[in-house]
Amino acid sequence: MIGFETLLLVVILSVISALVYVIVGILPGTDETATMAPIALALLIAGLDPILVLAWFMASIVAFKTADAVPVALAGIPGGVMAVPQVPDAVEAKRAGKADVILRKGITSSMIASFVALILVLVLAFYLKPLGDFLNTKDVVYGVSVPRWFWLLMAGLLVLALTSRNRLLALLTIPAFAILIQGLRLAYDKTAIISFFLGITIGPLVIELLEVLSGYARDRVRRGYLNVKLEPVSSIPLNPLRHLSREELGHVLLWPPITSILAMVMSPVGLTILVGDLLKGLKRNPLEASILAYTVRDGVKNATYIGGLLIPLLVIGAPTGPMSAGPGLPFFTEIKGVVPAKYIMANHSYLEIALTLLLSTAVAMLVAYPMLIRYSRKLTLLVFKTIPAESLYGLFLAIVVLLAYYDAGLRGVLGVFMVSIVSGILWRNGVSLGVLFMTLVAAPTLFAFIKLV
Amino acid sequence: MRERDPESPGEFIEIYGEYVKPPDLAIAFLVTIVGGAVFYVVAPTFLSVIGMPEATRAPLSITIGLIGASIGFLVTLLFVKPKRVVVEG
Repeated sequence: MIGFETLLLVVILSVISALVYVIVGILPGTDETATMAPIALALLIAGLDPILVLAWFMASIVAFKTADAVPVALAGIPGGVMAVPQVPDAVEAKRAGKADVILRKGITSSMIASFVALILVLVLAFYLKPLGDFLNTKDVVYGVSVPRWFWLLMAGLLVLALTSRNRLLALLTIPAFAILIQGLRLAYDKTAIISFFLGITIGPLVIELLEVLSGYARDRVRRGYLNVKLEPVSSIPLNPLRHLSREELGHVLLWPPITSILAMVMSPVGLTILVGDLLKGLKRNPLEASILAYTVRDGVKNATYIGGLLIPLLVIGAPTGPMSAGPGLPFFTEIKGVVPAKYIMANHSYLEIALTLLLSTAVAMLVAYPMLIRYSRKLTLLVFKTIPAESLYGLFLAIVVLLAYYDAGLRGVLGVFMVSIVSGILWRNGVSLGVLFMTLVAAPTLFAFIKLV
Repeated sequence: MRERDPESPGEFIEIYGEYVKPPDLAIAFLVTIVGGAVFYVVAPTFLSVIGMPEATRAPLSITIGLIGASIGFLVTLLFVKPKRVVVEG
């Protein structure tokens, strides 16, 4: 039973999370998995009640996925991987002097989409709950015990591999990466997951750093400071009803909820690209097309993260898509004998979970919305002027090393290093990191099948 | 408004769309990891002195280690400076 004290903690944690992730969202070069997952993991390992960590995580989704478009609108620089598809449309709008128009439309779209997607997901998950028992039933296939959700995971994994930039390599990677993971687990003498997960997360950063150290980064040498031009922004009214046209509101009410369900097995960034491209085809005027795509994409980002995490968590208790097997994986990882997703479902009623999620989302919206609408420019200026990339990257790497050591000692740290090098090289060659995250989850069952041959 | 003299800033490496000076990154990482490691190593002793039961010491040690890393991060802000010139349009 959730008491007053827990609700108070939900509010406090959601406020802190929203404040932290507004800043992280504005900062360029902050990958979602690298910034959200280690913190959630650390809170879970520290022994915080999983439902409170879920509240923290929900608030971070709302704040991060809203704030990451702010530097896109103001400077053409994405604040996270999910905001990258918005850059060309933002540049088009900025050229027409519409930076503040897309800024307010994007933030409003994120807010509306977060709320609508959460309501839909909560209702849908409630009615899909009986499906959870079916999906958790294990069948014996060729002597291997396989939970039925594994096939859902495999379907999503194959779709993601086939839509990767390098689909052949992505497909070949699945069994090979499963062997690497299971082999390292033998070396660890335990079924570790945290250090592998963190290794994939920091793969792209590690490979870029190794290239710099090895002298292979001459084409990335830059003379002089990075020039960031911030567009002027006029005063924006707080009333969200004045920011979207009826047509935009219609699309925001339609696409984010649909994509929140699809994100159960599909890639959030893929869905964001797909919906935006689809909407651009509806408009003849390129500027109108860009503004519409930018606006709806901002909402799709939030919705896919919410649906991609919550449907697997509330219905199945196992990760089935790139979001739940990626940034959301800490909730499906056994920590000191407890899987947080299962703990939440076993120890709290559905109503309590729903109220906690609604409360954390509402608090994050109340913190992030006025902050971003009123002070987006000042905030961006402050963050760009005071927080160096080196300090931020240094912090992520240090957190990863600490958690890996906690997971499996020196073997954990070396395992992270190994997995990050492999992941970084595969990512550089066109394999989506989602393929690796999902293979990590599927590895024990995949390995059992591979052993049969 | 220009934040600093862009005449002789030196060479940087572009990583994730940001300009980075490798020695600064190495120092930032070292300061942060040392902060985290020192707090993590000292934590069990500290927790036993204040009378924490043994079962809660290990998870709290990693929390204290992460607090140490965060302090290390804040320290780096004092001497590592952003490699950006913000031009207000």
